[in-house]
Amino acid sequence: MKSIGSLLSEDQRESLKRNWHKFSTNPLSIVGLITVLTITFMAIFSPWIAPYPQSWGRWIDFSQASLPPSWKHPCGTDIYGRDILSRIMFGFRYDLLMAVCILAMVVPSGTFLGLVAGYYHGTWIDTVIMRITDIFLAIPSLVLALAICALLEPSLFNSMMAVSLLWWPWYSRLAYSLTSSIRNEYFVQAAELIGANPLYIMFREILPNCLSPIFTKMTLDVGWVILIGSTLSFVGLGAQEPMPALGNMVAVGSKYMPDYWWMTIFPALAIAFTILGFNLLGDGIRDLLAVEEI
Amino acid sequence: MVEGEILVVEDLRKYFKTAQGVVRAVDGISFSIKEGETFGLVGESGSGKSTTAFTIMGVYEPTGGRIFFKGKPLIGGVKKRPLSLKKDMQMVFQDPGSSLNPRKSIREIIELPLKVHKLYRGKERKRAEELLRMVGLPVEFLDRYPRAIGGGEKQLVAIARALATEPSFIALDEPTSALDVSMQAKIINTLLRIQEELNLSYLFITHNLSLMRNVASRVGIMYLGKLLEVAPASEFFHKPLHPYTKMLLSSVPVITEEEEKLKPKKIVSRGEIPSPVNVPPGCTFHPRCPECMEVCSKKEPVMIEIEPGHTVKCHLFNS
Amino acid sequence: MNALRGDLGESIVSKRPVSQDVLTFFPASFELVMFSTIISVPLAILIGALAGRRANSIFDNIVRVFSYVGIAVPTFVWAVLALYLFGYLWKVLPIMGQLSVGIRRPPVRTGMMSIDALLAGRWDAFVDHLKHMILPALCMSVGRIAQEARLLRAGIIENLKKDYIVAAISYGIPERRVMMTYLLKPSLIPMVSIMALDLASSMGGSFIIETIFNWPGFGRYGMWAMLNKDLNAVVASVMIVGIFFALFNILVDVIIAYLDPRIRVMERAS
Repeated sequence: MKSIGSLLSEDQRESLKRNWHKFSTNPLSIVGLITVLTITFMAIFSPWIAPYPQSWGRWIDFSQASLPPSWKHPCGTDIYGRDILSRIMFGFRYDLLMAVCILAMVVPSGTFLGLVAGYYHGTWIDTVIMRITDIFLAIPSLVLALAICALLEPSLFNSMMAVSLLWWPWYSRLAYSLTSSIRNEYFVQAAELIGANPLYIMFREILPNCLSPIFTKMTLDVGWVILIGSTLSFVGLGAQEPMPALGNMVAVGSKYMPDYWWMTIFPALAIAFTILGFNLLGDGIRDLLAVEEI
Repeated sequence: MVEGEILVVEDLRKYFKTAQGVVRAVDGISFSIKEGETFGLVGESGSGKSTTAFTIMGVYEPTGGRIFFKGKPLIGGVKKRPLSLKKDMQMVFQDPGSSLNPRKSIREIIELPLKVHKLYRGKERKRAEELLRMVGLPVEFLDRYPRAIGGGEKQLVAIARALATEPSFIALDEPTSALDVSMQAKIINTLLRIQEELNLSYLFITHNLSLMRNVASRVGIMYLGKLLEVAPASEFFHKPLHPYTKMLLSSVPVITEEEEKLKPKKIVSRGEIPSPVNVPPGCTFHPRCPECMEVCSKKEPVMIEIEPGHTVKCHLFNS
Repeated sequence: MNALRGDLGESIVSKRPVSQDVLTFFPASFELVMFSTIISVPLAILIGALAGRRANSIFDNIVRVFSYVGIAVPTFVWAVLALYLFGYLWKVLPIMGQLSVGIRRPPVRTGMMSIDALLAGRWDAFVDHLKHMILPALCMSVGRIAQEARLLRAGIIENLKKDYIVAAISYGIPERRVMMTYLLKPSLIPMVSIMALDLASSMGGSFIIETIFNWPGFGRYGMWAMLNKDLNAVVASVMIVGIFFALFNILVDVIIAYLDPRIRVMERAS
């Protein structure tokens, strides 16, 4: 049987090994990687590994209500008797799903627009796309997200749409600046002189050279998207009860501060760790790629 | 148009608008290239020689003037030109590091022109191997990436790519200036051998005068966007006319006595090339010219033919 | 367009003209954001400069951890933590509103209560009000301090390698002078260039912070409008924040031109 390793060429395996070595010398990157892997694992397998899977939804057990952390419930229970640790695991699921969906919408569309505008630098296409981008960037993203969410029916889906709507301009600006400089490289001019068509030049010559900064921004952005998403659900404009989004749980729990502090503190820590993990991982990847470019 | 001329440039102009003002990078130059010959365009950096090549190739749209290729006028930039023309004219760039896409293998790079022009269909691989052999590179290079090969080898790959579509004209923009001397020789020899084999015409751009002696059949000297002297290579080195040409030739380092004798009397080169935004009035060279006369700062000289094929633009010969 | 004439329509909920509501609530927010800037920028410069100068020291590592945490933890988490710590465990700072019960409001003139109190000569109200500002302002600026300090640190470490700094040190110019006159100014540029962005996110953060700390400002008003689907008020609050952001971008360009002589020269040339 063929192993995965043999699918890669000698060259690629070598560079993979070198990169891993570079990455692993920074303890913070490793901490980030482990955090992200743990959170992702919990998110994917939450229905099977959560100690009380029924805590996901409308479950009421007043005999277990508002219990402080114990061996049975490491993070305590909420006022309906639901296990907070289980809910946090499900919360990871929603927050990660949200981040993945948002980035899946935002990265390709933003990159595409930036690529086109950058390739047709100085033409009306450039002007139109980049002016629209500037308008979106001119308003702080949190306020815009709040406003859009407020005007729609509050739900997880709508909050995702809102964040997507205001996040693509960052990618179009990044792709734009990368494309504007790469299009002056000789290899792009060579392709033009050969007569390759613009789509080929944009997607096969220029885009592959933009990918590593875009990928880096993407890993760094997971944290930011979760931050904005959890803020939206904190003010009640995102996922709705009984859906266990982390921001939501902090908001509900904060009503019972300080007596039932665990209802707030544990979800809040979960958010902090998630964002921190992605930021550390993203920084590690950025350092790695920055070195690789040289 | 004269029989046997593949490229004719008439009064070509290319101006750039910048924050500091209009830069006249190429300002009214005319020359022609015969089939199978190498026309060398020489000048200091900033003289507009590379811009000339880029404008001929269509990377820049000309501001004015006309270009004829095989008797037909070239209109507009590269995006407006027909595909068949792109098959016939190719270019090799100065910096081999940036002229190959780092994310593509040598095979993909060389096969791109074949795919675009639908040549050698189904036999692209064989053709790519043939091209590598033609420039003297081992066939194993096909599966490597640009970062894994040296600068000179990259330039040879770029030459192979330019040759892929069997063009009849190639613009070479300082193809060796970024390489070390041993590699330069290899590339020049390869270019000359291929030229003979395929009867190619070259526009060879360089700032290296001594290189021209071995490579070019005719040489043009550019200064601040203008051609100051055009002559057959042998005459150019034996009997330079323009003071600027003399200045350049006198600063070329030589090895043999014979060459030393050929060199004009040492002329100290004065100053540097002025900013192309503030071009001096009259003859653009007059502030640095050792034989500057009163008329030079007032009136621009015209290009006149001193001997057949040898033209010069200087007031010394205008009277 | 009516909006351009200053007429933003009527609030559906409060039944008052939105422009009047904005004028009523904006000064309190402005005061809070400014206060948070006044405490965060010097702190960021101090922390960043010390960490950069003593790179890889214990202090630098503490700062690094702090900056990661400061950026990663959302504003509302800080706010909830602050409510818990100061509201119940350690009651040294007030957590709600602008003034303590029993202190009379100074007469409204500017809308910024600290200035109003000073104008009225009400020292007690001034001090009490400042105390009320500390927690919301700090929560608002933790992320900013972390991010700005990190950029300044990076800038200093990068500039320390530059030839002109090495030359200055080798001439025997006292280190403190090198630091203050040669190093700090160019290193501040990346930090200043994101300050407008940071201020804008403070402005966005004020929507959350004012709601949590019950600060009667523009952010709380906007949040309340959003939750009540008060369209005119929502549009107005988004617009005001946008204008505020644009003004600060201009201000930042001016500051950068001061810090970076190259930009001034280029502008004069063109």
